[in-house]
Amino acid sequence: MSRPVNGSALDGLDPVLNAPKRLAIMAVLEGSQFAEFGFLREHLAVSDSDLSKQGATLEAAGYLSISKSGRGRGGMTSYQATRAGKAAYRRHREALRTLLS
Amino acid sequence: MESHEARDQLHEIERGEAASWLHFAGHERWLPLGFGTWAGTFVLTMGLLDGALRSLAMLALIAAPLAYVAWDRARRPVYPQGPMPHELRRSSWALVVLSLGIALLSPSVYFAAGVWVAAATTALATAPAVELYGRIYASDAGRVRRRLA
Repeated sequence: MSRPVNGSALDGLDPVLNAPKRLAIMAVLEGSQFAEFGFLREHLAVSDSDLSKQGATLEAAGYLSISKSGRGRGGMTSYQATRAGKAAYRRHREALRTLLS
Repeated sequence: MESHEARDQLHEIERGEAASWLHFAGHERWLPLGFGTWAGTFVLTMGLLDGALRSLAMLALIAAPLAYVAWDRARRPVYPQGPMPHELRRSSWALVVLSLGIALLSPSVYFAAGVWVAAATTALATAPAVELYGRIYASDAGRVRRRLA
């Protein structure tokens, strides 16, 4: 049975990370030094374009950096959480825990 | 936000944070043999060489695992950092215990039977220890997967 939650913990929730796919990307990056595009696509079970879109939103928010190496099919796109991204993610995670406590 | 949404998000967080650690389960078939050879060579270097030659050989022996870690990091699509899922702590303890066991066994055999027997014993003990650690890690990773499924 679901119940509504309220309180000041809601203030800690980050609107950028309220989207499940973006939260999942940041969760993988929280536990990783880096993650490649293909790994994230498989983990999230999303299309290339969807992952690119979510990644671009997080990059625009300053939450992750994207680096590319090589070109064409053999090229690698790698994602890394920024310090600001990790801080926002941890705040969001803490707010969720507070909401359920 | 509803409580079930918060719960779903926390589940996704746990799944995401564990992903890189789960990817780490499993190792190449040659790794136990490689580590065994490395450990045996280490004992031979300590027992047979001295002076500058031993220092050079020790440098090479220290560089080898560092090179392995660098190569391993470069080839993986993800590399873990931060706290590991609690189920995997058992494999960390296993690694510590196995390493300590070999660290005690090796000099004991060295003083009792000489450098060549110690090198062979160390190599023969290290290889299955690495294999065992890999299996414990894989088993623990399976427990994490089942919990987060």
